[in-house]
Amino acid sequence: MSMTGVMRPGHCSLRVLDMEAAVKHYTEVVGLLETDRDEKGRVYLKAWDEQDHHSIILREADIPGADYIAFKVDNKATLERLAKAVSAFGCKVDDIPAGELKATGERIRFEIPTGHHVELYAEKKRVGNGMGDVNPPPWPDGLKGMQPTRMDHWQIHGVDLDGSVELFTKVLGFGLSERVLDGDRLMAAFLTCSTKPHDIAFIRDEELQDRFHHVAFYLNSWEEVLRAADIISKKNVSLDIGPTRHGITRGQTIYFFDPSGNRNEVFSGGYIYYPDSPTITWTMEELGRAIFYHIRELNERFMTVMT
Amino acid sequence: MLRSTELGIKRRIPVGCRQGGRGVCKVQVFEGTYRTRVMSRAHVTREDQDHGRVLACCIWPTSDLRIRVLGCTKKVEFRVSQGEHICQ
Repeated sequence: MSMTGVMRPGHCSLRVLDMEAAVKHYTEVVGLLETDRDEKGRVYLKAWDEQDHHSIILREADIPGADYIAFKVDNKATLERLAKAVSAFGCKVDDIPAGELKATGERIRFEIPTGHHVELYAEKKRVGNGMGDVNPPPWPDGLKGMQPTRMDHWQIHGVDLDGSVELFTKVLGFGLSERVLDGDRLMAAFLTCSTKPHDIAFIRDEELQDRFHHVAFYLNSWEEVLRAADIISKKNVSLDIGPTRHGITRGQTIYFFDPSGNRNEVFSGGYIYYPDSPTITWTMEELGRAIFYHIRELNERFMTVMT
Repeated sequence: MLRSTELGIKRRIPVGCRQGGRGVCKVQVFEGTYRTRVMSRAHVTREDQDHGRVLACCIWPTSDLRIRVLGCTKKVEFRVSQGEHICQ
């Protein structure tokens, strides 16, 4: 299948309490590259192998969390088509003009049933990965920190899980790769718009809307996850959990917090998802194994600490 | 301060993100002085901060403190001495 419609996670705007500390964390610990700043004080970053201008926007604020998450679609016709479809689904759609974010074309923004703000856009300036497109080397020089290749996915929580899953699967064209069921009740949904096991994860919250659990960055190997764990200790970063493996998606992973309390993940592995792949189901009695495959039990902080 | 309690000296304050974002480790300081760093206004309002309701991960005691853990069902009060601030 050629990838059409919604292609991939494109960017997210993270609120941080102290910009200097945040930039130091995302460039020196995570190892993203700063690509730009704007007159509003926002800082733009990308992972080294991403081609577009930015995937992370940092904005200083007095409450941490995510302002919005955005997916890139394949062209402007798709953007127009999905704007109408999302509106018909019942979400109010706002137009954000080109240039509101640097190097980015027009975006549409809408609030999904779990209360999060989601954007779609078709155009962003391509800055490349610094190695050219002809006879390139496998990796660039001068990288710092964990050196992820890309911003990969988000996990977000809210009350109307069924509504957001319906929007993503029926309107935006995502596939349901894995799910957690409590009897017949959907508790978690792992959704993909690509061949990755997830591009976004939704978890049911019984009370709160618009919760941000983590943003994840992709590493090439388990060895790099262990090296990330070394960096977390070496640089005295606030560790959440790991290194370990998820049952869900099979990812090899470690979680930690940025200096504002936003959770980050770096991970490797997974599998290839095709449109005809079956949906994998996890049951509540195996939830420990589903989340943390080795210790087989949940840690309360992982389930409750969110921005 | 949270780091010193997390390491076992007290082990009575719940640990969240350790970065001032989530409010899990909120405490009431009754006595003593401390330095603070920026913390989420979603969990510590200006009024909270003026009245000593702060996040344990974001304070550095500059004297002995007498504190109570907030957000706990049972009442937990104890003293933290000045030497215990090993917060990251």
